[in-house]
Amino acid sequence: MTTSSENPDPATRLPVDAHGARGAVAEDAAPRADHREAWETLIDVFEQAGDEPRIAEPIGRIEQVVLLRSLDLDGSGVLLVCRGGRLEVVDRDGASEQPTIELALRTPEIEKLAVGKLRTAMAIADGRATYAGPVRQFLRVLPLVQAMVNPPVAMGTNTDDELVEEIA
Amino acid sequence: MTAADAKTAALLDRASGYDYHQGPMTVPQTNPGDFWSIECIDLYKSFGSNRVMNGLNVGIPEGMITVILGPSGTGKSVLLSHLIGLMFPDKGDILVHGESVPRMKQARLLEMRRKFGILFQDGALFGSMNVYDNVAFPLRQHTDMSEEQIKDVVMRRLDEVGLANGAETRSPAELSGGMKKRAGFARALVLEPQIVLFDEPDSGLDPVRTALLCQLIEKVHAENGGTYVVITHDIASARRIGEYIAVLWKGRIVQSGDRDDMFDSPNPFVRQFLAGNPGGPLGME
Amino acid sequence: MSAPSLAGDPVVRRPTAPARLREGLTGPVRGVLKEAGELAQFSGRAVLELRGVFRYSAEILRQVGILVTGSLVVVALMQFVIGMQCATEANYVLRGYGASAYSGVFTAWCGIREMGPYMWGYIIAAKVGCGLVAELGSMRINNEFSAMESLGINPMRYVVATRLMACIIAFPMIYLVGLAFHMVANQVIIVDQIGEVSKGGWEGVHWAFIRPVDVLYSEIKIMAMGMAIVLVAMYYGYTAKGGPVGVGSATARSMILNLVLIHVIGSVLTMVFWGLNPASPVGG
Repeated sequence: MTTSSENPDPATRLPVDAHGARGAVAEDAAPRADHREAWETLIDVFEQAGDEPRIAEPIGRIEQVVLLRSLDLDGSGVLLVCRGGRLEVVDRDGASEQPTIELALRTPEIEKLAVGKLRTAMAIADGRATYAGPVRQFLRVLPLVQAMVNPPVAMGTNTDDELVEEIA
Repeated sequence: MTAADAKTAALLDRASGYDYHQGPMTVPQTNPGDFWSIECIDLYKSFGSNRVMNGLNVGIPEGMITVILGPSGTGKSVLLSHLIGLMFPDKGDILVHGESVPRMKQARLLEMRRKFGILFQDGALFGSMNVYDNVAFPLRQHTDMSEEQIKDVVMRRLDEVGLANGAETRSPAELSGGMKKRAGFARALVLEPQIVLFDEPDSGLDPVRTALLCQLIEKVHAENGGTYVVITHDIASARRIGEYIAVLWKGRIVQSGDRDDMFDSPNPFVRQFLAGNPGGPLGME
Repeated sequence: MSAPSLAGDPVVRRPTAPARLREGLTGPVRGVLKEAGELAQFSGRAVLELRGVFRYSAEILRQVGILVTGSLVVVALMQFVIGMQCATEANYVLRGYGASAYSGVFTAWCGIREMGPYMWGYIIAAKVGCGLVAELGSMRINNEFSAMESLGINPMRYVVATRLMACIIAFPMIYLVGLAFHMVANQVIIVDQIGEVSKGGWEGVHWAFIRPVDVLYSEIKIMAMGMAIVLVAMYYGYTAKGGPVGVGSATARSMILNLVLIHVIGSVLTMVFWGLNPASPVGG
């Protein structure tokens, strides 16, 4: 799926692509190398999640195959095979698995997801990501992957949250 | 735009009170709204002449921590009861994972409730059982697990909430308010629910324990995933853990959206409430 | 900027004097009828939930244990007390007619037909009934029923029907034990304390005026009273609101209604079982 900046809808400020879907476009088009780098980082994150049993096991229980694609790269994406209590990252090309869920993201969202700061449901609601299939099941377990790269502050430790400074 | 897209866009616009989202959303898929865990559509509910919900529209996004904020007495707990089918609206609909709750038969409703874990105010522990039995209760009722397996799960959950140090043999009457809430939290998690609801979890807690409870909620969400809905009037908690915030006032959602956007909102009601400012359109009524 | 008002808010008008008078006269009657309807509906639901209650047999056994350990002793004790009173009245009243040898008639009918069931009703209403209102009322105000429903458990079945089944199992046995204590008390007073009638003399008359079916009728009577007491108590507990004060007033309302029902059921069933045929082996 490619995006087009032709005929942008002025009411929405979001361009319409060839398939009638709207997606956010970075104000300055990032070089292709940056798209690739962000994508590779995200793949690494999912591979790392697949190697951690405490994360892979609940993800593997959703019994779905997720096709993850970058909207800024040509390519068929990767399959996240979430089955049998395991998470496997498989190249789409030549894979025998058929995806049951599809999630397509732009590079800014890919970067945020790779550092564990993407609110994926809101990205979909705002048109910054598109999906197909029962994406809810995948969204439910994505916090585990995001927390792996961006863990919450440990209980009882001091934070540098500005709220703490305000209270002090 | 298809009719389903228009419906979803109208939901968002109605929920915001003003044109918060930059135009309508496009979801070119067959099941638009599949990313909402719960949708409340035009809810009305009255108790006698007291109208508690007055055209309430809200979507709870999947996989995130949503905070529903509102002043006291605005119907937050009533909304929570509606989400799990403990009450039904006079008008409107509630969809949980796309299924209409008011239209469910009793057997399906009981089954649907197993998707939920709920932490009520003060924990709502069963007074006739100790903490261990309280947490084990859902497992004994709904699973075929052996007592050994149940013990593993229960102790893991109690350890998660910091109660696996002898507190499991105490009865609820012997626990402090914070411990009751943590025990209730452990019980809410034990069936690995997809949606966890918190009804004013900070009530009766001092600010430090509130902050610790918020950290616990974040930690457990990070380890288990799912959709968390926290109903509160504590702004600090909302800022700390909320990813999606909806402001409830006089039976309606005044505005909802991403946390950072909400705290920068130009909506005067939202600004006054989130700042805790006595001056503004919100009065003492 | 002023706060927006809700669209469609009703305009509140003060009611007229005739309307207030009408409401004052019909309101209480309507309230009573409404409560009676809700009570009947609750009782019907509780009975229907008995169908699947044996899934919670552990809870039923626990409730039977609570009933037996909590009520058996006090029922036995109070039946003993009322048995002493029946025997005292029997002997002294009949002495005036020179018929104290027939004290066994009085004690037979007093225990089995009337005072045994009434004392049973009073104690069950006070101990079990009030206890159920308090227990279920506390569960209600502490959101335990909501928690149960949120866990996918039907509280009508898990809490109400299990207690009802426990009463069905435990009550006949507890009453029989109480009745035995009642008759022991009869003998203690008539034979041992007053001593005007011999043991054999009293027993001969006493058992002549009790048929086996009278014991069955007595059991039916106490079961009807017991079920009514328990259902009323659980209704008031299940629907309690208004915090601890609300639970307290629900307890009081439940006790009043139970006392009325004990006597209504008692008199109706006396007429049904013994009204047409007193089954008195006198005069052929």
